[in-house]
Amino acid sequence: MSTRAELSLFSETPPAEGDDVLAERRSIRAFLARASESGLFRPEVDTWLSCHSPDFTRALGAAGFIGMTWPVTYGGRNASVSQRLAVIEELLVAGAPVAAHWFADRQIGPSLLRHGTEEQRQAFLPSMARGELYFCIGMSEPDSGSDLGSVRTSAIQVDGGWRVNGSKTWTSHGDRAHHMLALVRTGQPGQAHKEALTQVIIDMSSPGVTVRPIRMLDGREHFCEVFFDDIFVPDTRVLGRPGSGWAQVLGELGFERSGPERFLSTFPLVAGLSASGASSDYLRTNAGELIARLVVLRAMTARVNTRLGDAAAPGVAAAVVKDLGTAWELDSLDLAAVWLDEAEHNEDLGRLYREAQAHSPAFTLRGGATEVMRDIIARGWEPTR
Amino acid sequence: MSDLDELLDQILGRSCAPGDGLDSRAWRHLTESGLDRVGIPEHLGGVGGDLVDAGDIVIRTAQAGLISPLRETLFPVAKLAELRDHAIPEGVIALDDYQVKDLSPAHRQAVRLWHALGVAAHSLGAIRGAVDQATSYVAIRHQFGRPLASHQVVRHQIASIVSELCACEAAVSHALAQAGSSRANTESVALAIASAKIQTARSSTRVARTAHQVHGAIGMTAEHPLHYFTTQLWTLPREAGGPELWSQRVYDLVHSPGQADLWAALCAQHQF
Ligand SMILES: Cc1cc2nc3c(=O)[nH]c(=O)nc-3n(C[C@H](O)[C@H](O)[C@H](O)COP(=O)(O)OP(=O)(O)OC[C@H]3O[C@@H](n4cnc5c(N)ncnc54)[C@H](O)[C@@H]3O)c2cc1C
Repeated sequence: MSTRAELSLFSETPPAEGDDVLAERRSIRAFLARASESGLFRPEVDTWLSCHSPDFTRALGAAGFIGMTWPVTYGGRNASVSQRLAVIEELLVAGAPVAAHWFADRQIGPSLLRHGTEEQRQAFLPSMARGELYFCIGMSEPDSGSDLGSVRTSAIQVDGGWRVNGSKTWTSHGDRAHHMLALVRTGQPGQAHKEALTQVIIDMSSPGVTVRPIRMLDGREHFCEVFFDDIFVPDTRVLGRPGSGWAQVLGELGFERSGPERFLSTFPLVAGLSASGASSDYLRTNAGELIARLVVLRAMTARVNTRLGDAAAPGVAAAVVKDLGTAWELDSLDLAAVWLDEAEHNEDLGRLYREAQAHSPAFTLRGGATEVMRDIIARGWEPTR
Repeated sequence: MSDLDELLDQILGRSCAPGDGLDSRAWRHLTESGLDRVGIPEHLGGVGGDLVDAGDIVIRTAQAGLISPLRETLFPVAKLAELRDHAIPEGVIALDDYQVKDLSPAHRQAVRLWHALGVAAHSLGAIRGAVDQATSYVAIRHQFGRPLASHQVVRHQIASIVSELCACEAAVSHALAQAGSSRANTESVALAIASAKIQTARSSTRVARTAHQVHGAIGMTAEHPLHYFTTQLWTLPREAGGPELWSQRVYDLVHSPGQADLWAALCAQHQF
């Protein structure tokens, strides 16, 4: 499909939220109210990447909110993509700690459903949906960031499986994940990455795997370096065919880039400030504009969301959402600084602001840098005449 | 493709050049086909069709570079006729010809909203036109021995206006759907329209600036069609209230006493 045809999805109106979606919103809100009252979490910003809580994730899984669109046989409940969108919006808006299961629910599960063997699905999906099994994403390497196709971690075929050597980096929660979905090189040196790359599922407890957390600028530890020293990966843990890794990763990135987490990272802060009111015209005008842009971003995500199940992933549309959404997040922090000056002193909001600021450089990098998004958008946009 | 799209293709594809106005063949064909009365009930002098159809006509004609007041005819003028339950008088196509006298404040506000929606739709069309001009031009113009489009800096300029265009597509289609829905409440319609007005105003300025930048000097000539789009994009943000007024309206809408918090206000649009 041409880029122009793909991007026309933004002008199509998806069906209005039906009663099933409204019911889903009510039930996740009730769950969140109970979880917050019982002290299971307090609202934070940037929760989907940063706030890792096994207890919260298990409770959420038990309540049926992880893997909810998956078939019942794999622990899901056949919910629609619109129902899921409502649930993940509510989780992000509430500032709930969802990082433990976020990757599994968003992209690993759908990839297993699409490319996995029956044995793989049975092995992973039900425990993911219960909120007990976590995956991390093994794409980036020390020398391969934006140029993801250049990954060097190698997998060499041996009896019954593959020997993997190399390293991954910036692996979010690599120290707490049970498995990694890793992109590795199985082809010959020099072979085009379209055929040379393969996705494998690596058990993080395999002999030869070393994980080292990396200290971040705020002193926290979040992402990790991961080293593979001649580890063994059985044939049964190759996802899809050897050599089809690149195409599969591109599909995965469609899920990774188009969701509401690309503009709701700072929302708990914005909502808190909004509740404190605004007295100056400057603030009212700029806050109004910011909110209007958020209305539009929600409309954009809702439109891409209806296509996530399609055979051809809406990768260009996802890049558009990510570019505009992450720009919104940064703009929201600029305005939050003004708002904090005007609002009555509030320790909680001040803390959320500092947190968000410390995380903010990641907004326009993780999941693919803004410049890469713009390359993707421009590449396919052919002139009409 | 719908009948309406086909008709628009026929009329705009064959006989419309950017800059055509009310003395053009395109305009004559449009009015002869009744496209200046779409979305208006038959008993008020209209030819039927809904708000999305009306939006389509405004967007497509603006994209073709037709200079016309359809954004008023099919939106605030049509709304006035509906509120007064009076057929639109013969020859009336713009708000100027159709004074907004003796209207209650609520009705005045409804007309203002529909005016903003019409302007947002027209802006989207002009943005499409300008983005089309820019993308075509960078593919054919060569400098440093290769097409402009092969320079990454230029490609990123194009990407940024394509993204603006996508945002406007979603904003306007969302607003048209909300405004045309019998189940949406007044606040949610107002929020959707105000957001579309703000988004298209913001994007108009950015798209006009970038479209000119990638065209170089030729974009400033009377001969090149770019200006039929960009000069409109310069003034459209000020029509039917500037973005700063609408932004304050959005702020007030989501902070009205009936709203529990910001998120509840944003979700209210979906409560139907
Ligand atoms: C908080 C955080 C969490 C992350 N978690 C994960 C994870 O769990 N798993 C994982 O695999 N990765 C993860 N990443 C890595 C992320 O995907 C990379 O940071 C991203 O792809 C960019 O790569 P890089 O950091 O190596 O930057 P580089 O690729 O070195 O880029 C540096 C700068 O140069 C620009 N640039 C590079 N190439 C070009 C070009 N061709 N044209 C124009 N500009 C260019 C980039 O846009 C960027 O601005 C995470 C990153 C962050 C910040």
